[in-house]
Amino acid sequence: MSEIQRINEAVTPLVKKAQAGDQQALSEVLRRSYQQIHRWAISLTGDADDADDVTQNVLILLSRRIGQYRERSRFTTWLYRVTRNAAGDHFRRASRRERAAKRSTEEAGDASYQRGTQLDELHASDVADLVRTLFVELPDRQREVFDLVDLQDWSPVEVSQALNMKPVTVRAHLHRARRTMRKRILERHPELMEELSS
Amino acid sequence: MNCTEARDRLLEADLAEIQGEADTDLSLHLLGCAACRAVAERLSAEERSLAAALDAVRPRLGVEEALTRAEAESASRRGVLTLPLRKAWSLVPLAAAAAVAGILVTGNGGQLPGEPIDVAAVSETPVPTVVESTGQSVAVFETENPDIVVVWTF
Repeated sequence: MSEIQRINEAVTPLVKKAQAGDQQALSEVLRRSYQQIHRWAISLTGDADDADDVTQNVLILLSRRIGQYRERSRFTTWLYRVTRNAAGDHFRRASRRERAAKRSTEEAGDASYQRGTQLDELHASDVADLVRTLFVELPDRQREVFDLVDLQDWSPVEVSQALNMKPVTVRAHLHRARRTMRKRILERHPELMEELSS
Repeated sequence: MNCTEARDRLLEADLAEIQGEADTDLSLHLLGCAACRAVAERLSAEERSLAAALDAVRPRLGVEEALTRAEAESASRRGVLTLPLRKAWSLVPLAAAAAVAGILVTGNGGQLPGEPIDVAAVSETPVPTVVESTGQSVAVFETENPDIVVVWTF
């Protein structure tokens, strides 16, 4: 069972209670969704600090707007849209340059600054090249679709609902993203291609 | 399907196909070709590593601390009329306009707009209270007179 399925199974009955005003149910919905929201935010922003900010905003939005969920789609599909919109708002509010300036100020001014974030650590890990390719080379839509379908096991149909996109367009983005990512993988393993070319 | 076709197909194939779990030409080819299967297994393994690495990135705040902050932030954002701050500010000129509207509706003793107003009476007229904001273009005000409600569009 995927993480998304687990969340939906656990949260769906709680959502109704939360919509009816049960604060404890609402807290539990937020608690169970927290890590997943952050996981989406990482992919949508490509930055651990931005992902933290977006996640926090989504918790606030969710606590205030859970009544707007109408069960037309799975709860996680709706929640993904909320997260996506929050990420869009986040980027509109502050330019990348402003955020970078703020960050460098914080780094310079705070001796205890320890934002050597896990995402930065990822950049230095074995999957660094793939992470860079994912966040730097892929256009936003391709990254989003690739992440949801291939890395998080969403069906292309569900992605088309979440992104309000035709399934055929989802497939097109997915194929382009896969081609970029997989070519990059194979470039790092030339031995795998030698046999074919010899 | 030959190896050249298979390797080009591998660049776009679904993971189920790559893992030989689908009933397709590519999956059949992979079952019989160790070299292409090695390519497929490498692609699959690297994508799994990427997924695991991204899943492992955790938020800076623990969930309980994040919930506490969200609750505090949510309460502070509720503020006046449960409107976001920028909308609350937009109500400043609105409230002034509403005061005039309230005067016209309740405080002028039935005078028509344009007729002289008794200044003393006006100065004692309370400002109506905003009881419901329905968005950026409509607000509802209660007046002292329970039979009169002002619907203000702006």
